[in-house]
Amino acid sequence: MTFRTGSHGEKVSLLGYGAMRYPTVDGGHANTYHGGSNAPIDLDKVQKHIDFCIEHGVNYFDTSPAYCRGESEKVLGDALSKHPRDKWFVATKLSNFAPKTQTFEASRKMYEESRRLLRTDVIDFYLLHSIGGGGKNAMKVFNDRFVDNGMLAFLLKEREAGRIRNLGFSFHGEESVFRHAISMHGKVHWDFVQIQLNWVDWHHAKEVNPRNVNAETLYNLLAERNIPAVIMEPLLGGRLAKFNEAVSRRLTPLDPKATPASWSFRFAGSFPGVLTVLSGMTYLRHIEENVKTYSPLKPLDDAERAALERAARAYLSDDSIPCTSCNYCMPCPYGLDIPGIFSVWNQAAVSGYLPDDAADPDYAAGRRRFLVEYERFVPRLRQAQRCIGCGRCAPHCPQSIDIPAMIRKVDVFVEKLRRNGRA
Amino acid sequence: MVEVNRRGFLVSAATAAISALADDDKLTDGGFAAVTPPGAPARAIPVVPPGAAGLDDFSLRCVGCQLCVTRCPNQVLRPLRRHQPGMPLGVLQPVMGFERGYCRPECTACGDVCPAGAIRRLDPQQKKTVRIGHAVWNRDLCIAATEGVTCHACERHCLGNAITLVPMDAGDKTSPKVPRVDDAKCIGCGACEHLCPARPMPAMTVEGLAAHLTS
Repeated sequence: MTFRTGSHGEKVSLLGYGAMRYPTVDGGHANTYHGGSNAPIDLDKVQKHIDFCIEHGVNYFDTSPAYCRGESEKVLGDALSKHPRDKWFVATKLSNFAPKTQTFEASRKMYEESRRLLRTDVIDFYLLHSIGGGGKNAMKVFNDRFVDNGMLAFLLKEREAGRIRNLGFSFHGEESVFRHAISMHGKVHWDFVQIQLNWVDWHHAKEVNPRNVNAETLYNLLAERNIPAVIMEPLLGGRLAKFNEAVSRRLTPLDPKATPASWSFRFAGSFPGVLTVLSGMTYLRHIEENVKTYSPLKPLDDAERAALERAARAYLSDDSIPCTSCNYCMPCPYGLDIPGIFSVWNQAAVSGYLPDDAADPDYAAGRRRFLVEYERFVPRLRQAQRCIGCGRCAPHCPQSIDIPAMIRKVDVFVEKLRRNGRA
Repeated sequence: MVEVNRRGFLVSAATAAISALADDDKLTDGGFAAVTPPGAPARAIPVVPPGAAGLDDFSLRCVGCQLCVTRCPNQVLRPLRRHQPGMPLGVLQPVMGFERGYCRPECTACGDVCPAGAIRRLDPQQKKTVRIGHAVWNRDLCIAATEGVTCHACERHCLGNAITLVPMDAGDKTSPKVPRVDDAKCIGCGACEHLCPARPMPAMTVEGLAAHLTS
């Protein structure tokens, strides 16, 4: 395992474990569907996975009070407590998104609760969770959540007292808020910052959505100030773990044996300012594969980097919806399986069966395949046609997807497919 | 009087439960809200499939063979279980209900299989022009009233473009929008009833037309 050094000399593994996509007893993962169930987390498997991680040098574990319907911290705390305290670093967050949790008392309670659930007096890495949200009001939201209520001042004191080792923030959304937070560095001294970085978002995040920021901009702002970067979404929620044909054509010849995920992890790990790369690994095979990629890291050479840039442009050519299945939008009050619907769509987009022209010779096969996948994966009462357009989901999306519009797009598409067939 | 009070109570209780949601004080991520299938409302006049001329003609010709019931891919048709006083339909003759689906525009299965001439064979183009019923909106059940949100479900999926959304309070343009049904365009397909999010009963109910109309 390749290791990097944190702001206070911590030896951190380049691969970090993201506790947002635990396996569930039905074989799915805690953040998603599988027939639209609320299946319980498979605690035995989680323990096995974390044991495996620690045996293989992975020592950074990232969670939040909001993850997995609020169960992530406790599950992680229980599993980590089986291992000596000097074998792991734990990262958690101040996830005070709901207005009622934004008072000093409520936010502080959230922080104390994290320490209790994680069974630790000292939180190694503590983050202001997802600053930059709130659209036009993003700066006000930032101040409401962290500054005006006195939480940031409190957390700085906690760091001084040694109960927080590293203080940082994670970011999605409004660039101005990121720059504002960075400008506080002289006073606050951020020990690390968590950003979304992968070979598509490096140069093309703005193309995917004008409201997003290219990872290159974010990374450089951190690197100039020697702030270690923790990387999230290296695989875009698994979407970069499967290449479409155009991407595959550009990358496979360079290294026929390399898996799609290994390209992505090598890309993220190659930047020297990166402290650790987080991955929500649901299955043991994910962990094995990623551990292998980083044992040790073989940094990308220039030719490989150039090929990835060409691949990123090819990647953008398909009609995917930029959902990473983070489930921040869930639960939908009307029962929709938002990430499930998008995942069926994206699977079809990547594999090239989004049939739009009934005259196309592949139309009938594509139509059938899409509808079969859709019906199998998303129960009728959770499908796109059940969306009422209330829009409560949209503000929660870290990728700034216009969720109601995209759901409507799938709905119209499916309706067209259904009408174009015999009953 | 008791009924009114009870209904008033139920509506206000539902409003209170949902306004907590509207504040968006969602604390954690992931998981699924419980879903319940749409309810089966009572109908003053039963709905029978396009291709039947109307209730009288249909009840005289239909032999109750159940072929159409077994073929209906949207599970709309089912045998009548109990005779409705004043209605010509007999037990086991098929009627339509929209809890599991609605009468889809591309489907002509019932007319294709009917051996008795009770449901005449139509092509999808003809079927579009036959009015078998009309949608009736119930204000007290609509989530615009119970939850204070604008819902687009019925308007978006209306096959006859018969529904327009208008402010609930005509004097206040910002009030939640509610559907207005143009009876001349409504064909009675049941899409609005099936997709209506109101529970336990939909706010849109299709009432049958005793004699079907062709426009």
